[in-house]
Amino acid sequence: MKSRILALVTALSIPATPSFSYQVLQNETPDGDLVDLRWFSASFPVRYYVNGREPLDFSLQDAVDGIAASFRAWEDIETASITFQYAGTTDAEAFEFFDDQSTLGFRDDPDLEGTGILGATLQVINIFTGEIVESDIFFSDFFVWSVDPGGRPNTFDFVSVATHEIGHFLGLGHSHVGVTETGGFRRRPVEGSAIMYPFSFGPGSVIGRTLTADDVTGVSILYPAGSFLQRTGRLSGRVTKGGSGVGFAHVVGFNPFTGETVGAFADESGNYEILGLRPGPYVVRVNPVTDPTSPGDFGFPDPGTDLDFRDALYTGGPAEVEASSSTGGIDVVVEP
Amino acid sequence: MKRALLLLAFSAVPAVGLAQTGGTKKLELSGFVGGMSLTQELGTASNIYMSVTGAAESVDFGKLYGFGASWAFTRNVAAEFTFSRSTNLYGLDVDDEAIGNVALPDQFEAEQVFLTGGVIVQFPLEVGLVPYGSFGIGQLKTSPTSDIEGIESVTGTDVSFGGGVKYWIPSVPWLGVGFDLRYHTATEGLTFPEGDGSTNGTAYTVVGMVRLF
Repeated sequence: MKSRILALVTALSIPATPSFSYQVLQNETPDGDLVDLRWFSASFPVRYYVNGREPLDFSLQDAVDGIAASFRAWEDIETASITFQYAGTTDAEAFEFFDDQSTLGFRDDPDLEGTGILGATLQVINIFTGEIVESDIFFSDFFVWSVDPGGRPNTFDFVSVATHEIGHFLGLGHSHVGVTETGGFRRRPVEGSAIMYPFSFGPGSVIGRTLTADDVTGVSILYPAGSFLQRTGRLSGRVTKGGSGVGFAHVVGFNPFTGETVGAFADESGNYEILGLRPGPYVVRVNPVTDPTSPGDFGFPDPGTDLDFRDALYTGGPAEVEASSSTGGIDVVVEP
Repeated sequence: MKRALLLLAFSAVPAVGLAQTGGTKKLELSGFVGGMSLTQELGTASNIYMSVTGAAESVDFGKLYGFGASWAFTRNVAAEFTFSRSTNLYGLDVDDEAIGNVALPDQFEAEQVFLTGGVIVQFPLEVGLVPYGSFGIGQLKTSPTSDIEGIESVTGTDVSFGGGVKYWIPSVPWLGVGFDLRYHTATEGLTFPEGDGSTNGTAYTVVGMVRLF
């Protein structure tokens, strides 16, 4: 138990409280190494429980079925290998830590009221290895939920939010692959934005049930199936402004032949690497981590994250990805 | 008597022409090099940030080459088979909501292989020049020269027509040079998933020829 620590809370919000391309959650070990947070294969299938309290807006069985559908969305990814098993209902509350039960359920904590937090995920990890040993997910009782297959107006889709939170459950952080528009419910991501984008798709929408290439790539990096890593390649380069590296810039690669958009973040020096890209030509695009997101949503320092630059494309020639190889030198110069 | 004179007259002209263009050899082998003005659209692909259109760039001179063989059935009609290969680059045009329009030339390369069978109708002249017209049908196989997930090659039917002129060198009558211009139209070409591709292009080549038999 001494090696275990409460890792972090990653939440899905509505834009009232702004809250990451796929981002893999990491932990710095006592030795100073960075390790990815993930379930080890010895844990497969990963067992999860559902809190047995009846939800306010639908039946407990609906909740169990909705959660199962959300796990299945991740389990069905052909390029990733992780399996889950429903272990039954439990009296344990979601966010009861160190009980060796990964529990999902609703929570009516008054502190959640007005925060805009729809749901959140917490991991208990081995701080030396990054192994996730327990993960709980709660959904806030302060919102109205539905599990209707087509969504229901003015309610949040439970399956969509569960799918997002299970991404965190697996070790993914937030993705910044997303564009927002002003809809009936403040700003909301447009269809095609990553499921791991930190904001909900809004009431009535079930878009969040369908994973995007960015989500799939992220979990396939963590739990590669078959020859995923051999069949894909990577792009790398540096984002600079006035000759200096742009810390924590967001970089996406778009393959027009596959239609896939996958992103990554530059490090504090502006160096970036996008992994898990299928072979082909890519359009490489850079943008800052700005409105409606902020650096804090991604765990980046503020100040320290350069937000003062305009979106830009890589125009230095072909950015082609080949399987099992890395294409470097895809450097992007941005301007204030 | 009148009919006999006419026949004589008709046969006399070719005899002179053939004498001056190197004889009655039927098999010609040729090699050629050239370029191609190419039109091929990849279609449009979009994501949440941008729309991307793509198109083939024309084949630079020297990037198209091949060889051919023809067999003359008559003085004016020959069957021809050609194999040619070209490499060309593709460019992308990005229409980005925040950035605007940006052209990205030379983003990837593809190989085009033409296999054509056809007919040559030629008109040997006295001075060693042989203008001709051609019509061919065959296939065009287009393959990216580097991996693109999901696309190994695209093959379509290719129809071509055009013409040119050959010049048989009087002092070396089995050796000739020429210029050839052909318009190709093929039913398939590389495309983005939502695209509907076809290829059109005008190939221009400089031809070197030898005559055998």
